[in-house]
Amino acid sequence: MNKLATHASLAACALLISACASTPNATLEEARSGYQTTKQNPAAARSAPQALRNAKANIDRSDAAFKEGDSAETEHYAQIAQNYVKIAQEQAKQSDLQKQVETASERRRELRLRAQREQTISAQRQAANAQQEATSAQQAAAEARARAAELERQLSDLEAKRTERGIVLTLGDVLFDTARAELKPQGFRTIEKLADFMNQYPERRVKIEGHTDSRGTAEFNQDLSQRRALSVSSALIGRNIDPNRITAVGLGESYPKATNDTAAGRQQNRRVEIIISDQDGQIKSR
Amino acid sequence: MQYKVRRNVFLTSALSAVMLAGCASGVARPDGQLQVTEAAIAAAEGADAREAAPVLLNSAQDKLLEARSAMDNENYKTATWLLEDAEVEAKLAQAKAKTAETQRAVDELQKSIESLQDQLNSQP
Repeated sequence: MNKLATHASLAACALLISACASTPNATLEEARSGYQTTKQNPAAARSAPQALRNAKANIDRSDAAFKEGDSAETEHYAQIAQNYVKIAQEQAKQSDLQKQVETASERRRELRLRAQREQTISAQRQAANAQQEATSAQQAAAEARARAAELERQLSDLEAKRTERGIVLTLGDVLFDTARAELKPQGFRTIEKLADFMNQYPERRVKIEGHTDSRGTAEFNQDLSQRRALSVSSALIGRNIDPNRITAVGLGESYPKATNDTAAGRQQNRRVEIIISDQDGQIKSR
Repeated sequence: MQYKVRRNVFLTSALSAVMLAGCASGVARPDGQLQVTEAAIAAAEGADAREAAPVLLNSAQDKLLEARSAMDNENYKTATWLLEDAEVEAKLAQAKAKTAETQRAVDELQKSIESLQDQLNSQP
């Protein structure tokens, strides 16, 4: 009788326990499935072995508590197990991110090298360009100096003088027949040189002024000075100088250069002056 | 004989009392776990978890405080559980901080890669 009672109570206990066991603890099952999933993740398996071990150990403790019917303790260790699963997941994420860091670092290194190379190339290109510019600037300067020297030489050939009105070339009375407008051959040689000069410096213009002394009538002198100026102008045009670059004017006896009281002074006053413009084609007016 | 029986009764009672006392406390004073948890919280704070996981870190710190007062009341089992919770929460907070830090590194690299690419593209 006594034995029977003992058996009966044992059976009841077993039933109770199995009843308990058949209602799983949600927190524990969540921890277990989280653990299983995370364990499958190669990144977690590789980078979070300790966290996974801790998760498993806490699941085991929770399981043991569950078997003993201690639901508070089951809950407690299941909760801790879940947190270890989360830690393992964080560490897996970190390992993925770390790989991205390595890939990106490598990429950045490559790009930096490329940027440096391109910078070097462009610096070299700039240096070469600068060198070339410097060389052409030097050449231009040398050419300008040579042109200036050549101009100087040609002007001295023409026996031109620098005055405040510009460069002035004076054709003296001896280059013309007395009281006539025609140039003598000697005069033509000077005109020849002037035409060469004008062909070489196409930006320059000339103003031709005829002058006389005060002997004879003013009308005659005006006319003679005009004709002599035009005669020089025609000679230049005859040597292919554009008429637009030439102005010819007769000024008669109005602008003596010396006294008209002596023969020497009068000879100086009978002349044709050719004023050469500056580089911009400008001539100061009287 | 009589004396002997009495003595046995006395011994049994004493033994029971000792066993009962042991049962009442149930769990030993968790001084070791306290140190472990404090270290875990300090490590999390050092890893800038305050910024990355403030809720978790606060929870861990609250539980540490509660655990200390439970220890003062000799409620060692409660204290142990609180400390165990706090430890793992602090560790999780630290892990989140590390993830955030690594993510920032990736973002910065990405940004500098983009700007280098722009620079390269803009060159003739």
